[in-house]
Amino acid sequence: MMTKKEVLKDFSNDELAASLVFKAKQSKSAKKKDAQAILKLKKTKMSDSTEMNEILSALLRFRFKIEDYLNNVEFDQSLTFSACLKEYIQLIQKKQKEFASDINMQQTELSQIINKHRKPPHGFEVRLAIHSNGTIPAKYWCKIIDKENEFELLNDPKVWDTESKNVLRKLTINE
Amino acid sequence: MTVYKLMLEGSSEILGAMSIDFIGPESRVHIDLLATSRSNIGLNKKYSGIAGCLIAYACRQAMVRYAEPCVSLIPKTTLKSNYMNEFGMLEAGKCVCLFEDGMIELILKHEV
Repeated sequence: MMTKKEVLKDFSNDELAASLVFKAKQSKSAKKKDAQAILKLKKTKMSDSTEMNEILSALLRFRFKIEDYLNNVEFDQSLTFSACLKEYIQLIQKKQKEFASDINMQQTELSQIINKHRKPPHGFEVRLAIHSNGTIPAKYWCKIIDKENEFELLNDPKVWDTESKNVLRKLTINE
Repeated sequence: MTVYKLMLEGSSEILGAMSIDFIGPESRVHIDLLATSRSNIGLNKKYSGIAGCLIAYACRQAMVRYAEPCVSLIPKTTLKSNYMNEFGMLEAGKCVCLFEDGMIELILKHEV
C-alpha cells in the first residue's frame, strides 16, 4: 500500500484529482462557514435554473425511482405501466392530447392505455424511450410491464383454477 | 457515514471506494473520502472514470433523497482547481461542490 506522501509524489495534480479525495479534518466553525457559502451559491444557481433543466431533473429522479423499483422484488401498485406513463406525461409538463400528438397516437388510444382499457401496441416501449431521448430506456418500460404481468398472473385465482383443470397428469415428486 | 465500493460485474476486484455523509438539513451529500485502486491511477491505468462514476453515484443518491440537492468535498488546496476542471465543481468556501445541473451532467456522462 502506498503512503499519502508517495501518492502525492508519484502523480500529477490532474491524476490525483481524477482518482482520489483525501480525508480532510475541519473545525465546527469551518464547517459552518462552508455550509453558509454552499447555501449562498445554491440560491444563485437555483434562480438561474431553466424549465428544461427542471424537467430533466424530474425525469432523472423518475428514472432512479423506476430503477430502485425494478431492483426490488416486490410489486408496487403505484408503479404499474399505466401509472408510470401517466407520471411521465405529468413530469414533462404536457397535456395528454399534446403528448399523444408527439408520439403519433390518437388521444383516445392513449387515454385507454392509461386507464388500462387497452394494452399498449407492439413497440410502444421503444416509442416512449425515443420520446424521452433515452432518459427512460425502453427496457425499463418492458420490465415494468413484465413485473405487472407476473404479479397479475400469479395472483389471479381464476388462472390457477383453469390451468389446474388443464393438467391431466402431474409429476409426483417425493421429498 | 456510508461506504460504497465499485466493482466490475462478475469480479471481486474493487476498482474504487467512497465514503459519504448525508447532511439532511443542508440537502447535501458530502464525500468524505474517495480512493481508486492503484492500478487505475495515472498514465498506465487500466480503467478511467472510476472516481467520476463514484461521484456520479453520490449525485444520484443526493437526487433521490433531496429536492434541492448538493454534493460536496473538501479538496487539498493545491487540487481545488483540478477538481473544478475534472468534474465541473464550483468553489464554495473550502469546499468544491456540484448542484443539480452539474450533477445531471456527471450522471449522464457516467451513465450511473
